[in-house]
Amino acid sequence: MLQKLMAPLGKLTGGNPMVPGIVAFVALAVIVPPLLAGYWIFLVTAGLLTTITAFGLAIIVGWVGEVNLAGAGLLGASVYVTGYFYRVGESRLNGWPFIPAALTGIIVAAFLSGLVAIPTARFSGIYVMVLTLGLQITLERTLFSFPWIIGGFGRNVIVNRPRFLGVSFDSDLRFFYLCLAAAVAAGLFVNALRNSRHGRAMNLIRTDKRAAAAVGISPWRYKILAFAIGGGLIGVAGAFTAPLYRSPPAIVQFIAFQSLFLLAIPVVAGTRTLLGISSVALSFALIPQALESHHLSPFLLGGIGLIAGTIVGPGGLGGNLLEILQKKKEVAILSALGLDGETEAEVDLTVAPAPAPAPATDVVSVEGDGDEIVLRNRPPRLKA
Amino acid sequence: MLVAAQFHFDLFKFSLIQGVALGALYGILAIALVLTFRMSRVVGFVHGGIATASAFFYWYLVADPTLVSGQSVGGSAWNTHQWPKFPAVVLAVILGAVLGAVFGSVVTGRMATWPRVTVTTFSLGAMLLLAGIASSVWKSAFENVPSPFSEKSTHLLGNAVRYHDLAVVAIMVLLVVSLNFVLSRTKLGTQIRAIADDIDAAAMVGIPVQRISMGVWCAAGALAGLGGVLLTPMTRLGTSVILFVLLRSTAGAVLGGFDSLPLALGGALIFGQVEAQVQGGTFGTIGSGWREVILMTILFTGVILLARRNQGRFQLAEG
Repeated sequence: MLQKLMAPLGKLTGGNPMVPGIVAFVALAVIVPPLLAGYWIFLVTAGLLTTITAFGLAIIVGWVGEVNLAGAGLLGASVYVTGYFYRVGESRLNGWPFIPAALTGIIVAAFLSGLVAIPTARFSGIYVMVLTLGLQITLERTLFSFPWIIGGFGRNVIVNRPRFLGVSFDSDLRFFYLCLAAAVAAGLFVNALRNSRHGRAMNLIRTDKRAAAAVGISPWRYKILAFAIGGGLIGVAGAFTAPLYRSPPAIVQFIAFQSLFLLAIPVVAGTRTLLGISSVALSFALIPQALESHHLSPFLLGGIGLIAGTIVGPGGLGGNLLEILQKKKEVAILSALGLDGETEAEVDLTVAPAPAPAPATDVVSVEGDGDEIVLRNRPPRLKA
Repeated sequence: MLVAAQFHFDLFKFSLIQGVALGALYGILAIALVLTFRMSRVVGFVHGGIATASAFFYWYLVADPTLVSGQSVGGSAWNTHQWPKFPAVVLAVILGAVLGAVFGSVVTGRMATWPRVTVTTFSLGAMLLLAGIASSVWKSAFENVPSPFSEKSTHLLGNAVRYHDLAVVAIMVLLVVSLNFVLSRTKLGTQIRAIADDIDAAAMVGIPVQRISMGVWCAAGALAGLGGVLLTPMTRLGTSVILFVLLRSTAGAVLGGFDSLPLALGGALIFGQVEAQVQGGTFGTIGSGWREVILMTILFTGVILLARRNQGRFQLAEG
């Protein structure tokens, strides 16, 4: 049903499956908030910022296949650094305009994330987990313990909502729209990156490091790049989280267990659809409120999410759902063509019309969306 | 030069004992981590969840309800029982063993051939779930937990030392000696080492790989449960502190190469000593932030050395 509704939009957008999703998401997000009470708008805004964080983690977890256990720490670092420079002045370092303050927070998060990737990028797997958990705990015990940065421990610190070009985003609704714009921009950026040669290279690294190295892609450089970009996106979420509460949030929101909670989002959603990540992120922002009203820990949701996501495989629930839809579509087309007896291997419906035969010397370029890597003969785009 | 100029021998003596107790505590969890890593090549983050569940369970059984602040449930007293401590310790350890066995049966069964990064992520999920269950069922945090041994202190090297700390050290020594004996002198130990060295070859010569692996997970779960029970009287009840200690233990296991019990213990003791000496002011006043930076530098160095050593060895097993 949803597919039928989306089909005309898909044609308009050149068949890019991401754009209808984003358009639908934006339409939904624009129509629904005026119908919600202020508290729920606030929660949905927090959900949008969780979505940006999840995009950042998806690049690290889904594209280069590493597990980052410092998500909450990086988010908190950006929140407090942005908040420190942006807040109403105590010292001469306070009181910056929002954009430079936010950029500083984003750079700090990207730098820390990239930094932890440098020693670990050559060794994958469990070492990365241990070191990113180390970074998380270090941030908790260092940056988050300085009262003058976090503005906590009895200080009455005010972090105002930003104001751009004379437009104030002070109200919850206006700030919601600002965060929505940031989330959509982050989604479009991630989508563009995924379809770029850098995104394809990152996906190839996760699928087969040796093959990546063989075609001239440096797993080391791309892992650092993925960590830095992922950290940067988490930093963007942090920069917008800083003024969300109008005062610095408590450090309990950025502890190690929260990192596991955030990690569960891309693990559950998979990385094949940004819409899937957004939906899971919004759910993960809203469901804990319901759980807490029943005195249940939000960690239950994160734990179940991580376990379920691990069991269903790297595609996540979103990827599995897409596969089911894809198979249904294939079966429908096969039956329409009268090829019900053919196996899927014999008729490949995902391949675009065959281009002219490429010269034998062409380098094989790599395309993929998330989990599936499609090799096509094209002029070389990845430098050997 | 600066460090030498600031060296305080009195504080060093005091921190030495504190550091040994702290290192012993890290060591108990590090042993659990090494045992399960050798079996399944998975970092058993789930031990953090098991330690949390056992610690909460122990507190629930022994705490005096009149002393419970109920801070996280609106200040109302929580209906804890005042059981004798040793049966409560035994039950908490049994809970840990059962949880370890359940997790081990999944890891050594269905997930035996899964990439180890995936299984480690599963382990993280299990930890989060157990922590969520524990804090949802018992709804408590920051409570004081009574020691299973004594709240009193004695004097050692001119400093007051809690009996609890001494008991932790004694338990760790006992554990290391008995585990070393089992691993090096018994048939079971030979089988465990065979599985750790080459799981396929071990299965080929008729060793019941899955049963023994599950047994090891069960024993490691019991150790994690014991670690949780011993930890909370030194700190307070809470999920964060247990994860923090688990990281220290993981760091100890990393320094020990993840496959040697004595080295893992040595690593844990180094971490305990460095932390206690820096915290105790032996080298002058160093902020808690710098202390963490020092410890993380040790961890990073350990991981890089370990990863370099194992690069060829585990390359094919990387997920």
